[in-house]
Amino acid sequence: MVKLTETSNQDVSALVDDEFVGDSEVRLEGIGGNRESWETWQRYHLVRDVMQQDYTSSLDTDFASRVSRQIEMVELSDEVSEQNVVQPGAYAKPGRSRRKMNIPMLGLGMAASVALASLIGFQYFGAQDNPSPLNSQLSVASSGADAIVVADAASDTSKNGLLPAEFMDVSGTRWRPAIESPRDKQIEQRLNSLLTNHLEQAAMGKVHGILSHSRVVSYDLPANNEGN
Amino acid sequence: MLAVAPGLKSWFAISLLCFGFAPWLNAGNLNAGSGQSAAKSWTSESAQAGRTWIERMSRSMQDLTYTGSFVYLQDGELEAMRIYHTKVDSIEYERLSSLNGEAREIIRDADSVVCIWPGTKSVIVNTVQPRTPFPHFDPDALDELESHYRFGKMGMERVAGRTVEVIDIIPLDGYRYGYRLWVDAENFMLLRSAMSDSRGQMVEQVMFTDISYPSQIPLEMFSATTEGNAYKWFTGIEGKLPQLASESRIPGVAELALPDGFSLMSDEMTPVAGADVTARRVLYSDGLASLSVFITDGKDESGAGVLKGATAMGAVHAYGVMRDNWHATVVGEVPHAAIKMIAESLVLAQH
Repeated sequence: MVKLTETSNQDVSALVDDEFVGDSEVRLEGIGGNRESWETWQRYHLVRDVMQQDYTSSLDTDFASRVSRQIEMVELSDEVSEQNVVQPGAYAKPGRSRRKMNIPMLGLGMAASVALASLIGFQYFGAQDNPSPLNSQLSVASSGADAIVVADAASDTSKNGLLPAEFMDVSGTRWRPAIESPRDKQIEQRLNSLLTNHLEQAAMGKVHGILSHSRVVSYDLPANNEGN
Repeated sequence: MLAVAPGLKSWFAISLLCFGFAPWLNAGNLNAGSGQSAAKSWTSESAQAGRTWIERMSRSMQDLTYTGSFVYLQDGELEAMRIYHTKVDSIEYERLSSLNGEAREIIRDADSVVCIWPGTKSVIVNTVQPRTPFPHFDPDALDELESHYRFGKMGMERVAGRTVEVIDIIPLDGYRYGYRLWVDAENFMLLRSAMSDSRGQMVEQVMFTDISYPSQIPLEMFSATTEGNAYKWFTGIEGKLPQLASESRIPGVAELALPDGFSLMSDEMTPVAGADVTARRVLYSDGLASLSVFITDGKDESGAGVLKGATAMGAVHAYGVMRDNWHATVVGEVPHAAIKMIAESLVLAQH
């Protein structure tokens, strides 16, 4: 297979202009057997025809090529769908990026599918740690979120360029530290107790509805940030 | 700035696409663009209708069996949570779990409220209190409440695929928060709620993204799954009946400055989960907002774990002060101005 280089582009250009020096039949066979060369060949003809204001023949793309591309799009879509079910946190393989470049309209749809794949994979991964039916619906809560690794997924996405997601560390704190009382886990623990106690007593708790307990379940100090 | 937890990014992106979430997040002003329409709603009929909706909502949230997922926004932090709720034989059961970050959860049953924080490997257990629905105010009390809030119906919208009525409760001073409630038009379930300060700026928001009403939820779903040995359990003082506040050596409140409309609701002793101390808890409420003053013996505290000064978490503010050898912590869902005024004006009774 002939790898397209700048010299090869010159050959293609020369062939288009009927100015090639050498065995043109051999060269044409090489172009026909190489996808990139073939597409370059088509582009050069299109450019020539536009410059000569003759659009009709060149814009009538090869039917066989169109069918081939449609088949590739379906195959790629199927591969992503399979990854939705099987692979937690999976994204399209880096090798597919070249095809993605040639099928730009698939990008948005695939990005959405891949995002869904990572979400389903995230939840599925959590469910594997606690197969108990009582916990099946609360798999994340009972298994512990710290068991779910997403760091590798972040590096994979940067390679294939599909989702330039940047995962941000959770460093949420619950109680903002007072000036007189610097951030202290004992103080926060006591405040958590007092708040829970107060919420149970508050006469109008139902106006807050789910807000009241949501505060209690909101961000807590991550286990690995104990020094912060 | 919005901090997005790992793993939540994709979910959040999909939410943005599906719900047009971003405009809602950025619309931080409860009153933005609604000044004229809000004024039209402030009639006595709409105020009464708004209160009726709230009473029905309060009862539904206690009586219905439901499960769903919702998002919670406070201090610019967005979280997703899951809730299960049912009522069996007049006993409410509830389980609320975070879906991102550390797997925090709170479980409520007939006897206790269990709060689990895996990040700090701690479990806090408090005694459960019977919940009262939104009280039915007599006309005099309603007039008093409407001296500090304006109620109104703002029209119909759609949340989590359900048609809802929007109810506004606007505070008339800076010592309390306002509420916007999106109440299911069919079963009066609260599907979305927002708290705002007197300027209309949002301080907390909650919105269901999906909700269902199963015929029943197994009670096993409301059992704590955390192993006791792996976690440090903080409970109230075991086997010790709460002492009457009047007989306690802990002094009560002799004097303090309260915002208009707040009155004493209860004054009783309570164990403080997580500490070998008993506190005197004095609860105040204006009918909507509430706050508690917890008084403990300063000598018992030894300076550890006691708050000095102000702190806050979303719409909740707290303020700690020392009064001689006693420590007082004021906690409530009221703005900082109210908490600060109350704490700094506190005078304890002399024994």
